[in-house]
Amino acid sequence: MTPTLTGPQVLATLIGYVLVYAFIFAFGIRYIYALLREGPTETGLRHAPTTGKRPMMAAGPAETATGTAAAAE
Amino acid sequence: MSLDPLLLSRIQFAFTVSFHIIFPAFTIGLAAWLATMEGMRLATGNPVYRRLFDFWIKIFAVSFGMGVVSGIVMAFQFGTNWSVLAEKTGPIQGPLLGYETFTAFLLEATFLGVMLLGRDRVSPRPYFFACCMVSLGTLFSSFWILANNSWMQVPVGHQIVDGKIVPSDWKTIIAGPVFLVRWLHMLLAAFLTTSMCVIATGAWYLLRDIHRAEGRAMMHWGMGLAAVLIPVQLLMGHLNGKYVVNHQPSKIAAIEARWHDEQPASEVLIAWPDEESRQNPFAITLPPPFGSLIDSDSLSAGEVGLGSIPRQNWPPVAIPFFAFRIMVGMGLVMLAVSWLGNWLRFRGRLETTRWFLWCAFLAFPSGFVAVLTGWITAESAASLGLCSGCCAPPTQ
Repeated sequence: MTPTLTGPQVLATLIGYVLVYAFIFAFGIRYIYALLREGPTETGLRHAPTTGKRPMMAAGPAETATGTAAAAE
Repeated sequence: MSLDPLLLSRIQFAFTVSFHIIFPAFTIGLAAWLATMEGMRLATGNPVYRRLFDFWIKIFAVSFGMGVVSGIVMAFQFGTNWSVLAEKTGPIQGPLLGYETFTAFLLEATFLGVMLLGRDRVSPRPYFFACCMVSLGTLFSSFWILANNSWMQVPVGHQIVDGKIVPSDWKTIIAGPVFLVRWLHMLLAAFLTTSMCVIATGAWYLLRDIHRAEGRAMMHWGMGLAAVLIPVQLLMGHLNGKYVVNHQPSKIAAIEARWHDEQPASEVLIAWPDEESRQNPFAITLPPPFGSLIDSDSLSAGEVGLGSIPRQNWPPVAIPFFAFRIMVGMGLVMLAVSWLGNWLRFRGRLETTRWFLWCAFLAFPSGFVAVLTGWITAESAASLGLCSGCCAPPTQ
């Protein structure tokens, strides 16, 4: 173990981890749940809004032939 | 009670590593599933495969992102919490983790870009190739991580020079005596985890009477793979038990809640192991020689009990004891769902047997629970002294 580490430091960072993880992964898991609930639609993977700067747009809501389908909700 | 930085650091690492393993366990299988769907579409031209691919790649993208995010945290913890471990074992763990970056991350990062952005930019065959490369990258990644962890479980191929651990034989370090069975056990666990999620998703759609064609395909593919893999996985689990018996006597004694040396040994199926009285209240026990048979493939082998291991080297007995049993129980759930499901399928009753669809849907966490409890079994009782796994690194 790192010799200079103190109990309060580790406790504080542990609480920090729990809070940050709860925030990030609650969003992630909720989003996956929404995608699973929606299911495979005819729209498929969107490419128009996806750019090298925003690769995660591939998992986002999509333009379809009949309008905009939100992948989430 | 004073705050013990060692205990808290262990809790902290256990928390971050437990969160992390959920995602690789899912994405290793998903990457292979996506490559299979893309290959099937190329081979058959069936549009269902394209819809399945386009659907699961979204799930894959988000899960993969969360896996990367939760994985980076642990690399930092080697510096912040476990710097003495990093200094002492750096000559071995550094290159192993470096090779993971070199082989797996570069491959995954490059071809994940093609997978997410390249559908309309590259032709179908290179696109399929990219899918295969991402899948291969996840396999490489698990290879190096399991090589590293196997070395920590059973350290071999090194010397100690001036208090530092230096490598002497890389072949032995990477492919040590326990590596292969542990890696295959983890890979099969990942494929089974994904199978159970794909089966559950298909069952969910069939129950809701939506996306029937896709739901049916998910159930067929998932149950087909799981039905084949689960017996192999049970055998792999048994072979994993071999290395524990041979190298880690305190761990096997805790898993079996065996308090005294026995020859031949009995086998405790379930109990409430009590460390104080060194007894197993409420035990259901198979008589000798079942314990020897399970642990050593022998009718007469003697098995070590915790009584002949110094008290300070005991793991917390209840944790590996129950974690192991939950893992095996989840394996049996997967066996039941996949085999019963295939039987119903061949009888043509799969989609009308709603109680089974409900069981398949509710079994979605079985893979995750098995992976988590399996790692808890491996790490909570990894007491070897020199280098004892993620949760109990050597202290100074």
